[in-house]
Amino acid sequence: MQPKGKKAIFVVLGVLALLVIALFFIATSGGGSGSGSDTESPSAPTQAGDAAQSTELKMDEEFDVASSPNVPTVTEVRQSLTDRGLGESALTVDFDITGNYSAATIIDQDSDEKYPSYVVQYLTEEGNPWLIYINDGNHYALPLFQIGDGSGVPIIVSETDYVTGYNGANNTFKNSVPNVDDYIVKKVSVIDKATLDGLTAEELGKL
Amino acid sequence: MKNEKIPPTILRLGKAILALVLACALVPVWATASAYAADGHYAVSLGDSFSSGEGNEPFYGQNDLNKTGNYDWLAHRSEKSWPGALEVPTDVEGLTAKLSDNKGDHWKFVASSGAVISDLYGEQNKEFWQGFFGPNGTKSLPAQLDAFTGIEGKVDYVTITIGGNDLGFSDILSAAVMEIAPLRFGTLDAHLNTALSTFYSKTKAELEQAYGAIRDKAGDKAKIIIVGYPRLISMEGSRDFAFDKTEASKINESVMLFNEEIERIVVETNDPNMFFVDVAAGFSGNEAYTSDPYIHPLFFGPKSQELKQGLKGFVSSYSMHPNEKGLREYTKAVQAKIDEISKASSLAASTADAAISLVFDVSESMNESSAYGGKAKLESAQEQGRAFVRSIENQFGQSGLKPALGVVSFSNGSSVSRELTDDYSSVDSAIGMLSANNGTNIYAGLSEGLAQLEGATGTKAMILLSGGKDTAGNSDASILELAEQAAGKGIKIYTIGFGSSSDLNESLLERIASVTGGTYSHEDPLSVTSTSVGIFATMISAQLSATSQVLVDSVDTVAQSSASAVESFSVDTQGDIPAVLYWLGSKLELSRTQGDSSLVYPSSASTQ
Repeated sequence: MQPKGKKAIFVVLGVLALLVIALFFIATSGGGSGSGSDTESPSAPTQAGDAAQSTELKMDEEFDVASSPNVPTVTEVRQSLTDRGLGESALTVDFDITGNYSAATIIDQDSDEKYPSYVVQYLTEEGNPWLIYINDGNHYALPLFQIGDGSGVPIIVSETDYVTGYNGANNTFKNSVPNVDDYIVKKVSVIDKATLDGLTAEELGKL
Repeated sequence: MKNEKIPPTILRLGKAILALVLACALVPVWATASAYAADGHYAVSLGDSFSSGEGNEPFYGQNDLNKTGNYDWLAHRSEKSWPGALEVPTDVEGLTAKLSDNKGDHWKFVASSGAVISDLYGEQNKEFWQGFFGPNGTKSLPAQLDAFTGIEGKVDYVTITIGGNDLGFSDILSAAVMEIAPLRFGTLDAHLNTALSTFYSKTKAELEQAYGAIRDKAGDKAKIIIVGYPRLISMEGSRDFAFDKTEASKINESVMLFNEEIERIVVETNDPNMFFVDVAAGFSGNEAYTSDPYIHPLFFGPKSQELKQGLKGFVSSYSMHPNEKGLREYTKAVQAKIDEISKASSLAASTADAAISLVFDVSESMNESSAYGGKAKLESAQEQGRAFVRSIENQFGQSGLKPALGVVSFSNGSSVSRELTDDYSSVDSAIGMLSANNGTNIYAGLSEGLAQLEGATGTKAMILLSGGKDTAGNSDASILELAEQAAGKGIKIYTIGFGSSSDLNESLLERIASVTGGTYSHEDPLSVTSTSVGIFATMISAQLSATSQVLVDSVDTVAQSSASAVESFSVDTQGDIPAVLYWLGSKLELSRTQGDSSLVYPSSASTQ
């Protein structure tokens, strides 16, 4: 048997641990899911890596992947996807961190490897297909069910006011604000399962 | 007993039943007509999803309770597949058999969605996931070439599409979809460059080996039909952002390049029973995302018969495959080739009077100037080749004889530009379409010409039109060995040289001709006519020796009733021969006379 004083210490430590976990969860979930249609939310975008947003933002200029501290590891991306309710979706990469191309590869194991651009394939419960891009740690979602409806103008769902693109030809990133005539950018507080499930064809059609 | 009349309704019913019984009794007759008539005839359809009919339900076995245990379902072999719709000749003249009516018996349908070249030799794993409650797992399809086990040497036809998956076409399409500015750049180019380098470093050699392996398994007599792929996407791109014009163009060009390379490999096999069928023209203007598509668009999410359901089926395997219209187009293109082969075979097997193969040098040197008229050698050769066709048509026209003509071309390798046929306009067209590049491989040309004449009967001859020296490293001795083989088979080779003497190996051309009993001539407007006359004379000789009551009447250049003398016809400056030949029951209008009817003597001889 253990002394009573020792037991009390364990109870306190346990409560503290739970508190820390809860605080961490709130911090990383950006205020919770299900607020996808809240386009006015000023919440900070959810990042896959701890180092995200730690550098000064460069706009409209290409910068080397190697110079960015924001590129997340596979483990960080997988954890981020799990936190977003997207952990079951296929995660693929096709360029390594130095820009070498390899055929599209599905990643299903954690690792400390970093890739400049990750692409996630997600089917909503209604069967609507999305591609989620994680470029330089930023998340963007592209609704593929627009294809074939003749709407013509792509919609990009973003957590930021700008879009980070990845160029495999020279292994660079570029932040830009897309031309409103070319793309409809819908800003959401977080790209997660609830947000994407809520963005139906009807919802997107209103944009 | 009461004499009851049968009510009219019962009578009608009885008649209907009788009619039904009779109809049922007749069914086996039709079924037999459709069956692949005799044992010893087999067809095998190998390949990937473009042969299996992916994307077109129903698939064989899809209604089985245990469909995941059915190879046909796992391979997505469609009941509407184009190989199944092909009709092949049977032993019964004029009767064809639809392959799908013979599935599992005389038609081995082993094409499989997702197949790569190595799946011809080894097992193909098929992963299926039918939901959380299953069935889920992996099964292996047998190696496709196993389909030949037990029927080696009995196979008439093999069809195949293969290689697209080895180059990652589905990845290329995915890359094009993913590549959307401003999120993604450079992915499609990277995929295409990789596919290109993979082809030249690996896939090309694998295809060569695969075609050889199929030949080994199928046997020499099998007609192996290698089928290409269509352009996939509207040249305008999709109506939305899936594919823009540039992406569509890059993808379609890569498919066309692949087709060209497949065709080149087929040609370079020098296998007279291996054919390439290009389907691209039939799909032109009907790619995916056109107003009347023959290709399925991209489908996202699993279709009802998808092997992987749920989240595991993100992009449907049905995507970017020929739809029912596309399958019909495939059938049409391949059926045309089968019909052409069949016609050529029956022509060769019939008592055709003669078969003549025109073998054209289409090497780079043929672009140089010829000796006459400031033309390129090839142009001159084409003119003379066409003149030969006209000459044959004119001279033989009234006789009722119609020699089969074929066209072969050679540069680094050789290919059949036109199978033996009595459709002279198509021969003329084939000659007109020849273009010159690369080196000179006379050996390959002669081999191809001999192969073309292999199945023909009656008088056989070859005309070799060349304007250069062999650059493929073949010795004169090895080429002359071929000529001797030809002579052994009674094939005369007439050679015509183009360009200056220093361009040519005239000595070799002369020896090829002399070894076989043909003649050599340097290009001039009369070469071809005199050659045609020589062949004609050979043919007449054959006829003369086969008929004892031949009467030959002509002008004084031909000795009366002399078979051998026929070959000594002289040709006037217009290329005409002042003679008319007769033999029992037939009349050969050998030439236009010189306008003096008295030269034809006696006019009544044809009936003697």
